[in-house]
Amino acid sequence: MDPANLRHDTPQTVVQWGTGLLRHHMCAAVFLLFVVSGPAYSQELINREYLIKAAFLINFARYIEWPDLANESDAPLIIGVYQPDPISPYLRQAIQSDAAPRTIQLRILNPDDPAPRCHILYFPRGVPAEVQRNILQTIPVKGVLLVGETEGFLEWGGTINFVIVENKVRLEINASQAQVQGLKISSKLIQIARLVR
Amino acid sequence: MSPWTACAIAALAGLLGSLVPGSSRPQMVAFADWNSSEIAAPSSSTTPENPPNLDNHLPTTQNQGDYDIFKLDVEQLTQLDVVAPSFQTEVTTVTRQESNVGHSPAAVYVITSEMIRRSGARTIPDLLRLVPGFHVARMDANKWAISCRGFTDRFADKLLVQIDGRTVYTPLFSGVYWDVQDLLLEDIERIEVIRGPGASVWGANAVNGVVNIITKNSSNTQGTFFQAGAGTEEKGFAEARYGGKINDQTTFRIYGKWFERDGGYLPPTSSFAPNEPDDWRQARTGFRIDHTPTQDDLITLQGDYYNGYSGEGARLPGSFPPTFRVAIRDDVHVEGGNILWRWSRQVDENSNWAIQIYYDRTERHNTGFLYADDRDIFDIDFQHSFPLGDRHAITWGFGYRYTEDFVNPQPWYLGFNPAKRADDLFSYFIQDEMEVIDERLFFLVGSKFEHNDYTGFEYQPTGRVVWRPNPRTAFWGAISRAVRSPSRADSDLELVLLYDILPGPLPQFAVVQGNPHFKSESLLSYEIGLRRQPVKTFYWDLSVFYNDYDDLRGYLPLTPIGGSTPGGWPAVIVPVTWTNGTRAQTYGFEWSGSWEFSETWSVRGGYSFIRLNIEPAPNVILAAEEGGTPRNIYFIWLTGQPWKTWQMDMILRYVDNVGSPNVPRYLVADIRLARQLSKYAEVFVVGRNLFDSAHWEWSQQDSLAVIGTEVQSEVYGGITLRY
Repeated sequence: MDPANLRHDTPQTVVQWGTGLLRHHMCAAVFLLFVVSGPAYSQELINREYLIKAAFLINFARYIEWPDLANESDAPLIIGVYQPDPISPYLRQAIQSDAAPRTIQLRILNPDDPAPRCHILYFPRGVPAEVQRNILQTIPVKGVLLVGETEGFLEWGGTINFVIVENKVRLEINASQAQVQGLKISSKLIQIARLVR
Repeated sequence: MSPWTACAIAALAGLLGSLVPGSSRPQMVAFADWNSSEIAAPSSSTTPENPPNLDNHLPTTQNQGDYDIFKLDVEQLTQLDVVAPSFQTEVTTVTRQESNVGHSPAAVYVITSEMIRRSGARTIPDLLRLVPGFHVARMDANKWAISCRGFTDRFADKLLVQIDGRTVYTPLFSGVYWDVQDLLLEDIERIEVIRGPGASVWGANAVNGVVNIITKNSSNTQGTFFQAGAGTEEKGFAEARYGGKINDQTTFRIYGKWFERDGGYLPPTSSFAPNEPDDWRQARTGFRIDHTPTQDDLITLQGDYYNGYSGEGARLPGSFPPTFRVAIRDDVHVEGGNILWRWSRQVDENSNWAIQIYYDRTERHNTGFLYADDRDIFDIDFQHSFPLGDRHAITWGFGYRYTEDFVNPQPWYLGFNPAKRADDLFSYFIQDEMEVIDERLFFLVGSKFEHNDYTGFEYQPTGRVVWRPNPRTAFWGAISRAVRSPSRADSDLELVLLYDILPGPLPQFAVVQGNPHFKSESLLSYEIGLRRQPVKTFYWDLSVFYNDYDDLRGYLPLTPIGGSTPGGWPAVIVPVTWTNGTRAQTYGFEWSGSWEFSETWSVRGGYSFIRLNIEPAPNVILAAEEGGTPRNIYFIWLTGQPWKTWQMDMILRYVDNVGSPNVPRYLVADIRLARQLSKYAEVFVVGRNLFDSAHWEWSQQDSLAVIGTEVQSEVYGGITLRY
């Protein structure tokens, strides 16, 4: 619908071939540069899964209240991580950064260790499901936030499970379990999580 | 500083930045597992048992990006991508099924929410400037001419645009009123764009491309979002959203936004200068509720309402000498809304169905003269997908659309005959995806069938193939037929324009009458493409097309007759009507690439080339003239993190000269700087269209005698709060 063009109906035939050609050569050059340089200067793809999960763990210290920490702002929060684990390097970075809301201590644990005194226990999916279930059955649940990343973790008695949905890290929370453990989870966390019973 | 110098500096900076970290870092070779890791698989609910790269996963370098992630609030953490988007980028537009870019037999491009946030764009048309191969030309502050693969016009009619499955082009002229297509940009999950026909599933008008805007599920927009700011062209804007939970299965969000924008620039000689008439303002509100009664069901109810004024200047044909023109400053009062309900169910791993119903109302009332256009659309759509044997995935569906409008004419200018019209559209489609060789070779055949009230039955088949010789490479090809079915404007238009071509002392007017026998325009399209992701951080995509159009619309001027203006002055009347007289071919290619050259810096870009060949027909003047499309378009987008808590984005955009309307080429830059002040607050400053105080992008006066204005450089700043 362009009747205004009726007025200047001389067809546009002027082609700036010179500059056009030059531009195409430049394009070809840029194209080649991309193709050639891609492999030469490449790195491993940045997988931020554990970086993001470490950031979540730090945030738990802010949005969850432990019975024994409620009145002691100086007492350290202890995070225990079972081996083999891919998260502790990131957790160390997170603890050292000024983002941590309070003093945090990190403990590396072996699955056969006796039940440790921690506020957060992290179960990487590298720990076999059987072993995870055994630990969860023997642990005194009071005051311990049990965090996992394995399917079924909440059914075995875990509190929070990380899942990856559409390339994003999401939370599943077992709210009744949290209640049993005497943990107060802020509504902020509940809002972004999927509640599982 | 000339733009070319800036371009060169930016390119050098990019190159240096890429060489330094690249060469100092040990080469990690881990091709083998990156495609088998299911981390990015869209539907996996839990990550696989084996942790990926457990051994070589230790972070070797501390960098600022890591610290910044620790500073983010939990809601923002849920929005971060685990792995960088690429082949794995989710796409649903091509087949109406969840798939990814690597598997798609079409020229797809995805704008992610992160790209939207960092682009500095405040309108959807400005976002589309960042799609390779798209030509976006602003005519005045609230009107755009947008197309891809040719035929750009303010009334471009070969592009299908959808927001959450709701078609937003108007059946009045098969184009889009871009000034009322808006959202809280923060709520957009992604914009999927297909260049080339998508008609086999989406139907008529998906001829040259499909734009599919998909908003976030309300469970991903929980908490409060607030943004406000102002600038030289953005007189002021404020937007807010709140998301919450109704119960364990139901989440919602509500939003509101308002803006006021300045008009473009006009040379002081213009009769409308210095106070340009095209300033505009709009307020908008909406909601979305998502309910998941079971894990496999999603029921969504969403709606929007908007109200505003879009200014314009027009030179209407007049009745009296000396000029026979009337210059009018006009504000178009735009108001409208929509409500949409959708229920989708995942029956099992490979089969699903969805039903969607929406109602949409638009009103446009010119306040400077009589013209007005009111429209109601009701639409219902169903689709079902299921496996057939081991190798076939069938998707089929049907739809019905009812549209009713009323157009109030402005005599001696613009009207439609009849003024009131109701139309039905019935459509159904079927498609079969065949996995010929596991994970390697796929065929796709399908067709849409439609029945419309203008031309009756239409068919739009496609045949496509994808060949993936290895997980990092995909070749694809497609042959498709698409049609652009007639609109109200083709069939019923009555338009009067001043027509100063013939010699003689009398004023001449072209009186355009629609043609009720106008047929559909048709396209036969041939496309091939190649995508490569040689390493995880580098991705490129090339598509080449040859399009053969038939029955294109042209003007057929008839024998001039003597007559008079409504004011009684003698005049020459040239009757003009539409005809399907013309054939045309276009060919060209689009290239796009993205490269993450360090953990905090990346560059992406796109380049497109097109040529158009029109076969002249006797007596017919083509509506979309040759040259209506710039031959070369490119953009380069550098995105990164110069300092801790800072974000920087620099975009260079080039658009070649356009022959008709006569628009010189331009090169401009957009720059955005943002700083995260705390977990909750971010400040930003954006400069757009820099290096060029003002430039034309489209015609100085369009086919409805509306005057165009120049796009000016602008700066704006603001603050974002999230909690």
